[in-house]
Amino acid sequence: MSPHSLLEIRDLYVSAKDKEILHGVNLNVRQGEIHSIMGPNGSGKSTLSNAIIGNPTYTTKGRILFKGRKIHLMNADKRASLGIFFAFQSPVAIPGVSLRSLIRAFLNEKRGKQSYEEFNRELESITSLIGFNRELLNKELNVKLSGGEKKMSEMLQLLMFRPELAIIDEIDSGLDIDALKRVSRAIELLSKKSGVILITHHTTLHKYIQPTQVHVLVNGAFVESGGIELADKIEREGYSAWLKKKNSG
Amino acid sequence: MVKEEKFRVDYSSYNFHNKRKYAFKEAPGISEKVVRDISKIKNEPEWMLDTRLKALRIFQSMPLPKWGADISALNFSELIYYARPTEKKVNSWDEVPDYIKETFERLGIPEAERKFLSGVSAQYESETVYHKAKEELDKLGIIFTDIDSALTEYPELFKKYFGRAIPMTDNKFSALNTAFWSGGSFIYVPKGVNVPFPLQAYFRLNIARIGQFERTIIIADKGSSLHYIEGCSAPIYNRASLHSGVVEVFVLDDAKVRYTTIQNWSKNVYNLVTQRAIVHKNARMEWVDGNIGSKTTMKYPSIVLLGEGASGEVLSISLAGRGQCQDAGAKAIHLAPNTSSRIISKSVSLDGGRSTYRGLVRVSERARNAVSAANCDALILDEDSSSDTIPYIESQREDSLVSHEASVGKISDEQLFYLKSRGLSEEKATDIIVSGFLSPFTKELPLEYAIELNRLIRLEMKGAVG
Repeated sequence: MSPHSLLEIRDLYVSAKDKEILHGVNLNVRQGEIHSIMGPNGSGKSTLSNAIIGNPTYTTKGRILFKGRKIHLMNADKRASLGIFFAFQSPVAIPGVSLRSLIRAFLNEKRGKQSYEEFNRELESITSLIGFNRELLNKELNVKLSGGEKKMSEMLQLLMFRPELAIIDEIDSGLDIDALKRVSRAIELLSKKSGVILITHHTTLHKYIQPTQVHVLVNGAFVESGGIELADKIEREGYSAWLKKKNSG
Repeated sequence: MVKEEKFRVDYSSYNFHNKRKYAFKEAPGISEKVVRDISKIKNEPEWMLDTRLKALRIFQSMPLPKWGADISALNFSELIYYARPTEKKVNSWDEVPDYIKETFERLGIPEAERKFLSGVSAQYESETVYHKAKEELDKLGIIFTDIDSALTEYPELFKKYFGRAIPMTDNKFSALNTAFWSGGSFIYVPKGVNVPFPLQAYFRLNIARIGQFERTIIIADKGSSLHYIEGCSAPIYNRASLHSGVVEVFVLDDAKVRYTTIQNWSKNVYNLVTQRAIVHKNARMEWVDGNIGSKTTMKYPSIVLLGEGASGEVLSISLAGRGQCQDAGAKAIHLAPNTSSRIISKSVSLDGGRSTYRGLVRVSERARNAVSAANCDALILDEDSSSDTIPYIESQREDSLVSHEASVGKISDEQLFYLKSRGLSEEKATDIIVSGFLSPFTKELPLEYAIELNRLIRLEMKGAVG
């Protein structure tokens, strides 16, 4: 393990309802790196991110280490408290709970109680950075929000959380170009001190964020890893090459 | 040896104006003598004594309600009325159950207030608050006093409204209350006067702690408005195991009244309360009703829409925990054209608790274009707990618009996982979801009550969720 290694996944098998979805996955993410995990729908991308954060719906075999600690048996809240944040693709609605109060609650939990002034200053600066519509702060969490608004809410929470490892699921769907540009800049800023895993099934995102590594996930296994040129290849040819290989094999 | 007491009358609350000591002895059962004694102590006029005696006979002749929560354990023949000298405290801090002391501790309630709330001291001294409020109220001609004084000081007004919204014959417990009533508030707001701040029961200087058979009468004269807050969310310990209050509200033409109450009786108490508002032309009544404590509650705040264009709302929550049965709901009776009612009910059952929404919406022949909407949502936190929704709708008009929506649910795993992924423990996550569920209620409360209620709900859920 290199001294800066944040996340190490070794031989990870993940099942849901007795059906194995990931068949032995390895991944290594260091501080300052952005890893893009690409793959067609149903290839297991979301399963991987859910397994890293500890969604109890999935059962895992193998090892997940975060900063050298085994986390694969920990509950989701414990993993989050160690510094892992998951930005959901379709976050669930929680009626009657405002976005502001949720952020306040998890920050109080994470850092101890902060003054309102300090909290508001921070909220102010991050909402400005990503162009967040502040009216949404007092709205009920993910209730009657558009797809784009939900993404922005997830990003705001992520940036307020200041994770050491951020896992961001399909951030590019639902955001307009301007929002995507601002969010991408924020992710790049974040990645200077943290590790980032981007889950995506198309390549638009890479126009704005330069990944350190691109991994292709097909049918529950990584089939190829490389640099940005891999994303370019997917842009040109899609996933057909790997899918064929799999089928013929 | 006397048998284990089922409930007893707390005589101390009858002794407002009397500095003398009364040495009553324990006497079993509900008797005419007890009623006569009460009336005598209070120096009541003949008509009041007659009313009490008549109510006693009605109480004795009426059967227990055959519906609602199970109150069969209330054995009236075993009633023992407890005599309590005036100035000597019978209660002591040592008698207060530990769980209530702990709750005070966790809520951070000051010592003096704790003793008041728990029933150890008869009065919570808040003279500064009281005097400031009193001055302002006097200037506006508002009457705000305890109901016992009102009978002496405003006999005509009292007689005009006493029992007008809730006659003694209404139900067994309104009869019981009419026979034994003592304590409660009396409020009159003159025509066109808007009470500039919420009136709270503790503004009254000589308030005894909430009586066992309290009676409250509120009259909002034409075009006036009032927000009244009764009770508090901190637990109230009472050794007596029955609380049977009656609240009568009269909202005259174009007036508006909101009555907010949060009951948190200790968990030995049967809380059987009748609350009803008569709403006149273009007037509006709002009941904001929280039920946290008691062993068993039966309470259905009612709005009788008597005048054309009258409207009303009942917004209620109940929390049923271990050993608790919260049978709560609302009644909306439409008696005039263009009247509207709205009922919002939220219940949370946990740790084996039972909650029931029981509601009645009635649209009479005369109520042309009546509109009524009810929404009842129940949240069940574990498999030992339960919830029922029992809505009755009786409409005699085809042009009325009556709707009832109900939902029963559990906290979803998806919601829990989402909040846990933010580093919140399962317990915290559950708190947040439950607070959110109840927020349509909490956000209607004055801030300090909302905060206290949220803290209280968290305490109630501690240990129950795991």
